[in-house]
Amino acid sequence: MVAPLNRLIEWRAQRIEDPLERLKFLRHATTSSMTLQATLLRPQRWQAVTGGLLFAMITISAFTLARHPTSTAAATLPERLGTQSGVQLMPKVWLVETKQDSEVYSNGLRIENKYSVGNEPRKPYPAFARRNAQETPSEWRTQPSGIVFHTTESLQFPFEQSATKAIQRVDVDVLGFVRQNRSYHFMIDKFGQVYRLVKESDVAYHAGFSVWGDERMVFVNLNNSFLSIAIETHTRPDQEMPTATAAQIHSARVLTQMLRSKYQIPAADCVTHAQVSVNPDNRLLGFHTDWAGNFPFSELGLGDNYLEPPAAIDTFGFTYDSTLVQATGSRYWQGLILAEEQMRAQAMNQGLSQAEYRKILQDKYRKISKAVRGNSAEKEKSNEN
Amino acid sequence: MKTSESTSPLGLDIGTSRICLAQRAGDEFQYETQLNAFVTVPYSKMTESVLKKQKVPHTVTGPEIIVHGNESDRFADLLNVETRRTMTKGVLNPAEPGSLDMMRKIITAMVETAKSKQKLCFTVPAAPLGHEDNLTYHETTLRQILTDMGYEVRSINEGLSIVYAEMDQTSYTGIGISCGGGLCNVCLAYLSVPVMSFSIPRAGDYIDTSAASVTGERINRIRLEKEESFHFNGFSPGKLHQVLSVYYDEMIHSLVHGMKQAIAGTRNMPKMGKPIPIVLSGGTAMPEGFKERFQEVLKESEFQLPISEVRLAADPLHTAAKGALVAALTDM
Repeated sequence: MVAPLNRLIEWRAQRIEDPLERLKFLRHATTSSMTLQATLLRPQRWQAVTGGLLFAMITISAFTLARHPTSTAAATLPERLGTQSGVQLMPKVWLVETKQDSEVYSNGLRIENKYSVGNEPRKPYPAFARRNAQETPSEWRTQPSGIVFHTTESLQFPFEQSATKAIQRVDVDVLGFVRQNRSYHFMIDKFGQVYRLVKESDVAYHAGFSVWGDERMVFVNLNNSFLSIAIETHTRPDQEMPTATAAQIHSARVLTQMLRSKYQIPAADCVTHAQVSVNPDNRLLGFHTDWAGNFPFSELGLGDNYLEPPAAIDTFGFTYDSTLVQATGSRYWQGLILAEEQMRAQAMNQGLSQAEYRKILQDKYRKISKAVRGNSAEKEKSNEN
Repeated sequence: MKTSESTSPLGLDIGTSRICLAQRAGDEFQYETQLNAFVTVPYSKMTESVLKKQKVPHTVTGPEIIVHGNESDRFADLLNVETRRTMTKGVLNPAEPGSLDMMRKIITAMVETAKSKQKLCFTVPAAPLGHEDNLTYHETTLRQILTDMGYEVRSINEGLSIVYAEMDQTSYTGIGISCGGGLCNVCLAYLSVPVMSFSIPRAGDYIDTSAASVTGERINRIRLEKEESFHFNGFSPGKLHQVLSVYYDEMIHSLVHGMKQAIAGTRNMPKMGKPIPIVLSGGTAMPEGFKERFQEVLKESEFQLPISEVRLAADPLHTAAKGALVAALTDM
């Protein structure tokens, strides 16, 4: 089933000149690939659906890469995978009624507003062109451009009837904490109840130093530009199934539908914190690793954005280490390979070594980051510390 | 016991008839080989002083002197006795009471004690075709010897080590075959991952023993004759060569039959997409004409997988050790 993925791995391996480095790459890549294969071979229904989707996406990307095996492909971004799937059609959801402490939407979404709080209003923020990104913004936006999914990493009790009271007590504590810190726009508790925290018009301190890019645009430090949804759970890279409850997955799906409908957010811009979080000090992707693996994209009506090449790598010269790879668990971030391949091809196209080209990208990031770093990132940094 | 100054990883091929150490010196690979055999000589002060003077590795044990490693062959010929082996059919020899002790002595004569945490990867055979894995004792014992010497130890399947040493051009995809003394080891790997591996007990020793029983010659003499002058060329100049041809042919047929059988029994065989290479290595694969005979038998067998080429390894006696070193260098 993952033969196309193996062909992609082989294709990538053949472009590594040093035999020992090639073997190192293969041993790492094939281990991940086989774990994926083992996952896909299990007969659960949702996995079959995900598997089919993944198969199609991998095939498309492998073909895209195979068509351009030389430097002539250098300026071509890996083909966007997100637009290929019918699951990503823009949903249409509207507000049905508003009560004192809640809202109900046409897709069944109910949002509790009793914890809603204001914060600094969203300011106009820059978006940079992904292809040949310049240091000056391509455009300025005022509406949210995407959604970042988080985990609360809070205390977890067994999801059993006998633990209901304990779970509810934790919910209240967590809600109080994240409200006070203006951490997220929404939180979904273990029972699937959706709570509005920071108002959608305001900034939440959820993403800190972060980068994401879709087919056209790149966004830097996403507090201002992306909404945030925290699911009350914790990261378990050893698990293949999502660590969210069925109720949480349902609520996340309808909440995502509503936000995408309201702000016309592309599916490719609905991503996890681990995919966007960067550390400018060591130039590594994955400073935070929540939802580094097993995020249920397909159950939320989204394409598998783990296949998307992170812009932090191919646009700003970040890299990643084994900590992130470990955190991805049984899922395989094909996007990491695609982004590195894109970076390599761009360097070749410009007649530069990868190290030289990476340095140019990093310098660009430094300048852009300095320009866009507002109070949000600084404030969140102080919160984290 | 010597202490290693270098922390560079090491590869060690522990075969039934030879032990080969591989290490890297700059961009080059360097090898040192010792026979994995010994012979006992009656003790005398004169013999001991001669051995010392000539720097022949030996150990005095009461009424005997044990000569081990490369010199054991010469002494066996001199004394008209057979050499004794620490291993048989790829694993520690259960019929040889001193096997463990001698193995330790031969290894310590070749491999220096690690100064700091130095990586060492050693070869282990695959389970015999159609049998359960019974290699635990062998592998654990060797691991213990090497760990005691201060190494950070890993093991690698011998067939896979051939793939690692020879198949970088095909992204470590293909079939590696090591025809040694005790076993022929086979491994099919796809993108560096072993898909299928097995061993058959028909290898160099089987040919030597069978030929010796038919001709009445000593096994050592058969082996020397085989290594020095035997070749497949369609006609046999003497009885010994004719007998060797018969048993070589039987070994090759067993090998190809085993490969077909193992592949037929492999679940989840990956789709290779293109023909794969076969690389032959080991001392038993070295006679002139061996590769061509193997190709003939493979062709006759209607082998299931498309094969791009059959070739002899660049350095057949050192291929497995090089593969073990490559595994150690890539951090295992």
